[in-house]
Amino acid sequence: MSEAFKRYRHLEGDLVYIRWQHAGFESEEEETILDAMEKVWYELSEGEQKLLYSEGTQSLIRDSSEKTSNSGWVDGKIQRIPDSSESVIALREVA
Amino acid sequence: MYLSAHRVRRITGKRANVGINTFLYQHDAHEIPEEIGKDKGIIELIANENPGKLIAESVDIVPGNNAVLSYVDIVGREGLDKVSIREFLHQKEQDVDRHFKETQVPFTDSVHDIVVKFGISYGLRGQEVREYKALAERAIGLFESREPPRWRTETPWIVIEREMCDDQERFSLATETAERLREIHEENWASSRISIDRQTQCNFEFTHSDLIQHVAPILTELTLEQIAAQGGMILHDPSIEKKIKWPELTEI
Repeated sequence: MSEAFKRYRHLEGDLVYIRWQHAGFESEEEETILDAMEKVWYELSEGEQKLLYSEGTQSLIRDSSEKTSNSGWVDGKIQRIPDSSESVIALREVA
Repeated sequence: MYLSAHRVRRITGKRANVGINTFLYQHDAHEIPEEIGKDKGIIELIANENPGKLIAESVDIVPGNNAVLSYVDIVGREGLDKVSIREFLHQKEQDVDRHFKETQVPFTDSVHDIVVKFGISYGLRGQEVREYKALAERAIGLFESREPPRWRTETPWIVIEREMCDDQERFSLATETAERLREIHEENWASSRISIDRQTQCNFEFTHSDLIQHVAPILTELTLEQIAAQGGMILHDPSIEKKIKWPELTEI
């Protein structure tokens, strides 16, 4: 396995990590990773490129289902204020 | 002591803002058991029912209605030093890796004086340790620095006026706020007004959280994080002389 191949694998991991964070929405970080992957691609041997082709890109496909929903965990309206026992509230509750 | 770091995401239009928010809370001695490691359930109790007194926080994304992608919760007795916490979290990295190879349920572990819990949403299989380390690093960073964010400590100067008339609400910048923003943006910069009928507002907030989080960036041309860095903002209703401070949403 060449150094370029290891680097490509690492970038694949970075891509999954960034796409997971951004729910599939485009981001500057993703663009940077894709540019780097493109450069490394041409350093790979023919055999390595074939191997990557044969694996497909399923794990890197955007997860569009996350675009309209979240993980199910939502942070509080606002964290409790120091020295206050007030519970969290929404704007419409105080307006 | 309750130290918590979350990876949070807020989707605005076609963009996802992502960051790590970290909070440090203090407890009285009687609130945390002596032998904390014997009762891992304490972490649920503290995180959900008795987080304690907030003493420091580091916020990338203004809290409130953000999706939480992952979290690290750490509970220990007051007086723990950063080296103990760092070593403990570091020791657990391999256990986290093993744990998530078998299951997706949150990982919980303890020693005699610290408990840790790490949870992660679906979709990042194989990189759980990477996320654990990112959150743990930020948590330890806050434990060391203990700086409050500016919106907790500074007086806001951004004022949005809200008029309620018939079945509509109208939002605009206060004159002084518009003048200061003109200095930030450019000389001929001008803010707009936003009107929205009640039913639309109700429907919108059901899906997208408090309207003010969407109105303020349009009126000011600043992000919520930039507004928070200016000390937050005040929502002023002149007709009833009511002022609400954001992001805390408290009346002042």
